Formats: sequence, C-alpha cells, structure tokens
Amino acid sequence: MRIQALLILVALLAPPLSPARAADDAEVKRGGYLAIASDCTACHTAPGGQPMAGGLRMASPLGTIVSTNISPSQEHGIGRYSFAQFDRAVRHGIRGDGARLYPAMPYTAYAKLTDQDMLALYAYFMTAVRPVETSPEHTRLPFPFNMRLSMAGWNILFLDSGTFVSDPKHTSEWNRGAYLVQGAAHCGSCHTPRGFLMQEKSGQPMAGSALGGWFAPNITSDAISGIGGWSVEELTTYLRTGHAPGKAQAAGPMAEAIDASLRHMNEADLRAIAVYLKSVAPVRNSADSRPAFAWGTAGDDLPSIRGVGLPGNLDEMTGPQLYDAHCASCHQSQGQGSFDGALPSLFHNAALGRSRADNLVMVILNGLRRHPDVNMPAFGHALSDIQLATLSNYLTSKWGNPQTQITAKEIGTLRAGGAPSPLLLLARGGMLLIAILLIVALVWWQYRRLSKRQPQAIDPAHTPGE
Amino acid sequence: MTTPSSEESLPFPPTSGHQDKTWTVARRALLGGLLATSTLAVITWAAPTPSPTPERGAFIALSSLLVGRQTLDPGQAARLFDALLQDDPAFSQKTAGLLSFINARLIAPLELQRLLDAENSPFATLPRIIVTAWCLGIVGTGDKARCLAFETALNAIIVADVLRPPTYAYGGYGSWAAPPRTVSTQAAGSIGKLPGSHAERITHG
Amino acid sequence: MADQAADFIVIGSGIMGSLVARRLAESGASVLILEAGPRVTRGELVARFRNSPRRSDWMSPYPPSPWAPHPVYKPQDNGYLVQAGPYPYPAEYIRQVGGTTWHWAAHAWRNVPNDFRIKSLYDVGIDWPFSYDELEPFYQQAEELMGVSGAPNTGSPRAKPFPMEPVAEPFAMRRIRERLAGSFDVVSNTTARNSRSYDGRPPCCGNNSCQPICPIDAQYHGGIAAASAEAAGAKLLPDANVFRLEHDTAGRIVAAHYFDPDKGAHRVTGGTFIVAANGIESPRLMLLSASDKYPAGLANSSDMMGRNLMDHPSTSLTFDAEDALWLGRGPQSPSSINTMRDGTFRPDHAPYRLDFTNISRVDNATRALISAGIYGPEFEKRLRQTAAHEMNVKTVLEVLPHPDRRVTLSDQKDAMGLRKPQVHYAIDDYTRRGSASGKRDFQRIADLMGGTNLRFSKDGDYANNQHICGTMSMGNDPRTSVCDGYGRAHDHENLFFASTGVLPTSGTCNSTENGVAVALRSVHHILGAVAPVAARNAVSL
Repeated sequence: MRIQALLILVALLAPPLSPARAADDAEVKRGGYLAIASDCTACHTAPGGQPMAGGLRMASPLGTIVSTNISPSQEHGIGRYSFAQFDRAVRHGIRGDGARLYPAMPYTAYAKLTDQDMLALYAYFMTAVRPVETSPEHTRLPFPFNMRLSMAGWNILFLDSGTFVSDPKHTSEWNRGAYLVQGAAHCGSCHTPRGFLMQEKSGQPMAGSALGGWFAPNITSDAISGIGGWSVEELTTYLRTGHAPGKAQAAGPMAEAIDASLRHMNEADLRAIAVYLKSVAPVRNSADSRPAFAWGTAGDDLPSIRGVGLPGNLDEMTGPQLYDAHCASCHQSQGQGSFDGALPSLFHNAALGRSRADNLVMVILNGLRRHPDVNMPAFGHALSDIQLATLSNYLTSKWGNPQTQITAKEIGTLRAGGAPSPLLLLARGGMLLIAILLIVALVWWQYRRLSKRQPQAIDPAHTPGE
Repeated sequence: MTTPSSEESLPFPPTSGHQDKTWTVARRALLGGLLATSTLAVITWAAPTPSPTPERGAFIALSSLLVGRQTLDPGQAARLFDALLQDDPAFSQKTAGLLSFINARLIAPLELQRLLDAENSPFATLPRIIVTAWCLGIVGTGDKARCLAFETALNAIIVADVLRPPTYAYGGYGSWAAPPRTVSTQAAGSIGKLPGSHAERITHG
Repeated sequence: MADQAADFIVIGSGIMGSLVARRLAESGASVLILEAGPRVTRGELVARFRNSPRRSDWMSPYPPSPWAPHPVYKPQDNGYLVQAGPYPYPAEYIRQVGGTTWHWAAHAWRNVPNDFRIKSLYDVGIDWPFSYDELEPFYQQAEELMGVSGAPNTGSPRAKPFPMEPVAEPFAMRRIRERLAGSFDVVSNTTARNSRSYDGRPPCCGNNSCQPICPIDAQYHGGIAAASAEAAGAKLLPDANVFRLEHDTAGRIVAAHYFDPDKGAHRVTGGTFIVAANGIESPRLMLLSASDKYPAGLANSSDMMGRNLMDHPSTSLTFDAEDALWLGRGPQSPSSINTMRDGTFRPDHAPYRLDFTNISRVDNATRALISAGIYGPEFEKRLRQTAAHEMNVKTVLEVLPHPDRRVTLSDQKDAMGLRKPQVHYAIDDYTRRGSASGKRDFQRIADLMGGTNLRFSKDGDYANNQHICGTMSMGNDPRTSVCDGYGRAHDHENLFFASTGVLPTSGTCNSTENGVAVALRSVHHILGAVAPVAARNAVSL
C-alpha cells in the first residue's frame, strides 16, 4: 500500500506526458482507481443499470437532472472524445459538442486533478469501461435553467480552473489528502455550503450544507461543530466502513459515497483524507454547544408506559410509545443498541446530537442501506408527520441534543425531498431579474478579481491546528 | 449488617434466638430484604416516586425475600405496589401479615408455599401474586390482568446476560450462531455484564 | 345500485387474496379487495405484545373487532367458533388487513411429490388434480415473492435455487443436529425469513417473536402482500365484512354484499369473484349465501362445501437436555427432521415432521416455578437452569380428509346478526398411529440429547397448528369436490377460491406455501383463460 502511495506521489511529481502515447496497464489501473475515488459511478450508473451508462435521475433544487452515458460508446457515450475533449468536460464543464454541463457534475472539483491523473482517467475510460449502446433520457430543467449557456456565466464566476499544487509546508500525506478532498473525492460538493447561485462558498469549505433533505455536516476541524473531536483512526474507519462506534453512522448520500467510492480506496489514501480534514480551517456554528457525538446516556421510559393502552388516535401516541412500537426492537429498551454493535446505540450518535434533526428524520423516513447489508428499514409509510415529529423530538431529548426539535410541518417538507431552491422561484419570476443578478454578480466578480490577484485554489490557505 | 438507626426504621425487626438452618436462611433473606428497604429509604425513595411508608417498606421486604434479591428497583416497586393495592384494598395488611408470619415462624422461602397451603393460611395466595408481579410483570388475572413490566420484569433481568426479551433483536444477523456468552446456568450474580442492560441499573446481591 | 365495481372482486386480504390481487392488478385489471377487518400497523402489534398480560397467547395482540370477530380463547373463549365435537378444533385466525400470517413461524415448505398421489400410492386419502411437477413453477414464484430459504434436500425437488441462503443456524439447533447425527438428520427449516436484505426488508435479527409478530418484517406476512397489492394498483377496502354473494339466473356471481362496522349494507359488482377468506370463513360465506336456486349454499351442489376439514395435530415432548442450549437466541422455529414425511408406512399411519422449537423458555419456566411455589434464591437458580436446558420437540401429523370433519353454520349469531361458524372435528386412528411412531422418536431423541425430566404430552391430546385445509377441496369430479384444479367453483364459472381450503390433503407441511402456490397457479390460469388481454400485460417476477 505504501508503495502504491509512493508511485502515485511519483506520478504526481512527474512532468505531463503527451496525450498521444499509448496507455499501459498500470496507467489504466490507476485511472480505474481514480474513477472510483472520483465516484463517477455514483451518478453515471443507474440502479440496476450498466456501468457508466448514465440514466440516474437526480433531484436538484432546480429540477431533475439525468446523468449521461460516459461509457466509450461511439454513438451514445464518450467514445469519440479526444483527450482534449475529455479533459474539457471533466475539468472545465464543457461537453464534447461545446455545450455547458450543469454543476451537478463536480467539474469545479475535478479541475484540481493533475494532467497525469487526467491521462490515466482517460486511458481507463477508453480501454477498460465497456461501451454501452444506449442513451438515457435528456435532462430537461425548467426555464431558464434549460439554457445551458447560462452556465457560461456561472463558470466565469465560480470555476477555479487551476490544478492542485502541493504545499511544501505540509507533509506528503497532508498534500495527498488535500488533493483527494479538493479534487477527485469532491467532498466540498456536498459539505461546503452553497451560495445563492448554487456555488460552493469559497470562504467556508466543508462547513456543512443542506442537500435534498439531508444535511451534509460540518467536517471542518472545529472540535464542537466539526470533526475536531474525531481521531484520524476514527475518521479512517468511518470512511472505510461508514461506522465509527460511539460517533456516527453514514446514511443517505454519504452511505452511497462510501459504498461506491471510499471503501474501495486504499487505507493510506483514506488516512490522508482524514489527516487533511483534521486541518481544514475550523468553522463554528454558534448553535452547537458540544460535539454531535457527545450527547446522551442509556436510559428508558418504557416501564412508565407498560399497562397503558394505546390512544384511539395513533397521532396522539407519546414519544415512549412510538419508540416502543417502532425503534426499541433494534435499538433496545435503553437506546443502547445490540451487544455486538451491529445495531447502533442512539446515545453517542451524531444523528441525534446535531443542532438540526434533518438527518435523523431522513433516516427514519427513508431507512439506511450500506455495505455489507446494513439495512435499517424505512418508516416513512408507517409514521405520520405528527408521529414522526413526536418521535424525533423524543429521541433527541432522550438520547441526543435536547435543543434539537422539529415540527410536523418541517417533516412534511423533508418527506417531499427538502426545501426547494429559492433560485427557481426567483428565476420563474422573470429573466429580467436573472439578468440583473448576473450583471451584479459579474461586477462583483470583476471587483474580486482586481482586488485579489492570486488564484485562490493554488494557495493552500489552511493552517493546521487553527 | 444494618446500622442501629436503620434497624429502628425496620417495620419488622427480626427476633433473635434460634440458630437452626431454617432461621439462618430466613434471617439472611429477611435481613437482605430489610437492608434493601432501609437503603431504599435513605437513597432512592426520592421524588417522583411516592415517599416511603411502612406499608411500602413491608412490600419491598417481602418481595425481596420472595424473589431472592436484595435490591429492587424502587420505581418498579412503586408501580407494582400501587397496582396490587388497587386490586385488593387489603393488600397492605396482608403483606404485613405474611411478613410477620414468616418472621415469627422463621420460614425459608422454599418452604413457604408448602406451609401456607398445608395450614390453609389466608396468606396462601399472596406469594404467587407478588412473585408474578415482579417476575412476569403481571398484576391481576383474567380480564383485569395487566402488564406493568416487560423488559424490567425480573425473569428478563435474570437471564439478561444471555437472552433478550422476545421482540428485542438478539443482535446482528447470525449473531445467535455462536455459543451463548454465559455458559454457567447458575451464574447468579453474574448479571450486569451486558453493556447498557437493565442489569446495570438493578444491581444484584 | 352498486357502490363500487371492478374487474375482479377479491374477498379477503390475507397472503393469498393479496398476492392474487397483486398479480391481477399488475396485469392491468381493476381489482377491489374487500377485507372484513381493520387496518393495523406493525408498530401497534409490537406495542400490544409488550403490554400484553398474556404473552404466550399469541392472539393477545390481535383483539377481534366487534363487526368482524375472530375466535379468541383467552382470557376466555369468546364463543365465536362454535365447537360441535367430538374433538375440539380451537382454530386461531386473524380478520384484519393481511390476515393470519401476521403471526406465523414463516414455515414455507413444499409438499413432497408423493403427497399429490396418496390414494394411488398408498390407498389413503385422495389424489390431487395435478402433480408436483405442475405446481413446481408456482412454488418457485411463491418463494421468490415471499423470500424463502431452506436446506437443499428435504424431498421436494426444485428446478431453480432458493432466492437466498438458509438462515443462520442457532447454536442450540447446531448442538441438537450434532448430537442426533447418525440417527436423525436435522435440517434448517424452509422459511419465508430473510437471511439477507430482500425486497427492501432486512435480514433476521433474532428477535425470537416470529409469533406473534416479527417486529422488523424480516419475515414475510400478509400485511406485506396487501401493501404490494395496493402498490400494484389494487384498491383495498378494510372494514367491509362480506356476508353474501349474489348470483344471476345462470349461476354467475354478480355482486358481493358487505356490512360496514355500523351494519350499513353495501353492494359491489364485478366480473370475477375470488374468495380468499381462509378455510373457515370462506365456506361460511358460501353457506350464508344460500338462495332459492342454491338452498344448500353456493358452490355446494356436491355437498362438499365445508367438509374434509384438516389441520396438523401435534404431540410433543419437553425435557431437559444435557447441554446448556439456551433456546431463544435466533428465530423461533429453525430446524426439523423431515425423514418421516413419506415412506412405505403411509398405508398404516400418518406421516409427520419432527419440529424443534427455539422459543425462549423463560416465561413458561417462570410460570412453572411460581406455580410450584419456588421462591427465594432458588427461583433464580432454577429459572436459569430451565432456560438453559429445557427443549421441546413436536410432531406435525397428517390428517386425512373425511367428510364428517367439517365447517357448518351454527344457530348462534355474531354481533352483526350473522350465523357463526361451527366446527366438527375428530382425530382418527391413522393420525393416532402416526403419533405413536412419533413418540418412539421422541424417546430416542431424548436419549441422544442426554435428556432428563421427560414430559410427554398426554396421550390422546393434540395441539392444533392453525393450518386449515380441505374445506373447499379441489378435484376433477364435481360430485366429490368443490372446485377444479384452478380453484374455480364447479357450480359458478366466475367464482374462484384462493385459500388453503382448496388443498385436497394436508400432507405434513404448513399449508401456507401450498396455498400460495396453488393460488398463483389459479391466477396464471385466470389471466390466460378469463382475461387473455390482461395476461399479455402481466408483469413477470
């Protein structure tokens, strides 16, 4: 594993090779590894579908985006792409035909990939991925987002096209982690808050962001709001298995990222990611008073409801009654989980300790699936919004952060897939407004460019231990 | 074993004298129960559980003797006592009476039912009612039966190192294929090893 | 005037009615399911069990609804199922959405091939109107729908593998298998229980409450089937207690009449009617629907409606094994011996399965100790001793069809003013001789387990297993059977039965998988013969 890491490092430091030369097996293999690290399959393989054939429907705040066929099919995929076209698509968000990609494709992160890695990725896609001769349906976003040209303006504003440059002030492990986090693993795509125009906010990397009902938590080094209280070993275990005992379990999109990508990465890379994340500038959420994993102790209220009949109207069931009916079978009477750790405890569990209940409610609504056959069933069909609000509020007060409360109305919103983007409402209000916004934004960008000459991405602005 | 001050609070101070085997067993059991009473009186009869009364103390002492445990959960004791009293307004008097009877005759728990039955004692039905309440969590019979404890019924606690109460997951898929973690079937006092189990709360004598 | 109409009216939302409705709905047909009882959620059932003062009474989480009662026997017999004797038949079943498989041990066995020909081979009982081979593909369909797994060689050949691996063997069953090896072949049961995530449902977590309720849906049940029927487009009407089917002058069924909980009468019309209201309520409905044209009830020109009631009586042995087995870890009914399900003995005595329980002994042992007046430290010691060592094995015996074992209408009426079902039952010598053979096996098993404190069930006492069969028996001869091999009533061309009641013999295995497979075969036939257009659109597995 160390040798592999070393080879990658050597590759990183080597001068760019000519795209014309033939790929060798090692390069294809490395490209395959990068494709996994980049989690291409997460979006470009539909459930039960052919690898890289696209067709996954992704709900975005702007509408449903359908992923494309990126297998090397001449007709339906990227088989005719030259390396230059491939590179433009992956690192610049410009399709082979010149059309702009929506930033659902994390090209703003992939822009960090080195030339060598791009060559390896290209070699892998062209030689090792099986061509699939089908085309998924086209993405049809509502006006004005159906005009892909609008993305050109967006790219001017938010695409940072410099590749990763390592920082000699840090260890090679840290640099490897930074490269993976900012580039292939595109952690910020979910974990960095997005601005009004859906761009990642450059000032608060990894500070947490809402995402289709889920909340990608703050993974800065802050000891309270972030992962400062996690050891590198715990983070590494979590990235590999989705479970760090006494800390958290991965669910939703993070479980998918672990299943499709992170668990296939080598230990050295996962460790490098952990080391780097531990150095990301801390961002504190003022609502947080202690780490999400640090709440709660064993204890139960079940004896108090024994001998008490259920109410005629099941929406009037109490928190302990709902817990008894739906949760206790697995999480046990005191919330302690099973003796073997297979069924997690509810105290010292980040899902119940955050200052917002989104992820807790989303897990209850949709269940949790993770390799290898971790399966918490979904309860969305079994619980009304009122019941779920009672239950969630009971769970957080009993075993989690008692300040974290949620209403039935908010649960209805989560059940419907999260809050819609204000951008959509605004955009539907008229192109005029959009035009004004773009002008304002362009002026702001000009101002920023003049006031800040250095391309920000090349500057590793993080100071460890901050 | 008990301090003078706590003995003063005992509802039924043991008489001294006999040293035969029956007495020894009974005295141990009784003292155990009384110790529990006095300890509870000092430590755990706090709000929100009702304040201790001689009646409740007698119930705990008798319960302790019948179920063979020196420490019993005060909250559960209160719930069971209230329910038993609701079913039988004379429950307190009967409890006190049976405790006196045991005390006076120095009866070992294992001999108690046989003796009560042989003598057609008016207390003959009482031990089963109390042990059913503690060990199955059930008070009352027929249509009036109700379950006041399930996870914390003593029969669940007694085997908690090996078994979960029905409906509670044993563990992850296939975890039951391994041999039981406790091999001893008589490991009284071995309870409390299961992380977070009720046994942590109800300590064992 | 009809309140509602559909291509297919399915009466009963249990596992068979719901799976039939699902298949029909998937074909594009309109389907209306009428269910006598209410909807209920799994969570309520779990909560009711934990709050029950009668945990060993598995009906206690399922109280009957006043407008559609079912039999319960504790704390006292509610008198719904009237016993005509000579031997009691205290059947338990559940009238609510999803039906009786809400509580079962999920045994999902196939018959053995010879079960279909016992008259020809052994000159007992009757032959089925089709062979094992004809049913085999539908067994497979049933197993894929329910998520079934089991040991590979239990005498029922299969064309395709089980959809999943057998459920992990509990330690106790391993010890039993090891100690009986060489004398008895102990195998993992064939069950509709997940050994991995299947169809979105999680693998078993060893909750040991398969009966009365699997709290995590690792075990398939009719509630899941009903939800899948609704997802496929079937409309399900709960609290609709059908009390009469109406026919036209040609004998076709034209409408179903039901009471709502307030006894308001409603009428629904349909093209084809499928009665799936279990082996007791279905014949009851047919008998309640008697008319001038059919004074003995519908589908009863043979006088066979309600006759040939069969189940699987059980005898048992409880004893203390030498090993500390600690029953109660893992599912309730994991292992059995299947070598006595068929053989040359079948002309002489009933075949049987030998079934080992893995139900925790704790509650029963507690009651026994209290009953014996064991108090003080000895209570705890003996409770642990019994919980660790006590085990139990039971026979699951075949009962032959006999017209005198039957369901009729009682003169007593239920709260809706409808005549209650009445059962006439008896245990014959064929079954008794089978139990005698089983008792010899019990003794050998106890010896091999180093057993002490042997407690045989009382001679002549038979526990019931709620596997109601035979009351709407299928056959090729309309004079001796109720329906044909596709479950179609001989007397009514648009009336079908989907129920364990159609099974002509009981065999030695729990009746559910047989009933589901036969019902799926019926649906296949219906879609081919009755609704060929719909059949072309049928969604395959």
